[in-house]
Amino acid sequence: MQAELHNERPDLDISILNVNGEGLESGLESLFEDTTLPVVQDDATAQVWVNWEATWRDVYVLDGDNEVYAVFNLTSYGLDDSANYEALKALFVEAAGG
Amino acid sequence: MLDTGRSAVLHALVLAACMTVPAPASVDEPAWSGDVRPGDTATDTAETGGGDTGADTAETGGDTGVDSSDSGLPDTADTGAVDTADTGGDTGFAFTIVPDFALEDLNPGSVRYGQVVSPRDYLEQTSGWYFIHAT
Repeated sequence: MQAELHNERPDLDISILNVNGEGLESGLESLFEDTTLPVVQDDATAQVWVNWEATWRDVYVLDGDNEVYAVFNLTSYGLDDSANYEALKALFVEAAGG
Repeated sequence: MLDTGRSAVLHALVLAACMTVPAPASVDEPAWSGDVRPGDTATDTAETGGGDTGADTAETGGDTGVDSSDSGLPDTADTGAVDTADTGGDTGFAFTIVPDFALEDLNPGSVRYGQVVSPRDYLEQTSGWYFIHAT
């Protein structure tokens, strides 16, 4: 999706990153094989999941003010469904003002 | 003598009329002030902030605690307008600045590998943050 957004809307600056759950470092190597997107590892100090009140497979879409534009959960709206895929892409574009 | 009697009767009627006018207001006021206002104010404020569930719960608790002094008058001020406006569509996170953090990008295949990543790096941009369980 990152590549698609970049190719289809090069006028918009959209970046997607991953935040791995605390204590799940052992799975990072396999994750690296699947993505070239940045991956950060949450820990007891950062507490990103807690502070953002995130749940597993949430995608937080932030606008240019670092404000939450939308939260899209991939368990509820799996990207296997093309409608969900397009909906998430559209959220990114809308958040970017496109 | 007759005039004096009429005058006295009229006087009494006027006095009685004057005394009965304020009575309904004084009865109503305790019913409103004790029952509705504090709870509604708190609920409205909380709901504006996006805490729908919390606001509704607080309202229920507040009303129960105060209604024991209810005079039995119709509680018309408590219309339920606040509750019915709660459609469930308020996500509570809309347009909220996310807390900052600073964590290193660990992915060797990423263009930001080894750099410290913060959401604030993406101000003036749009960013997506996928909360994943790497397995």
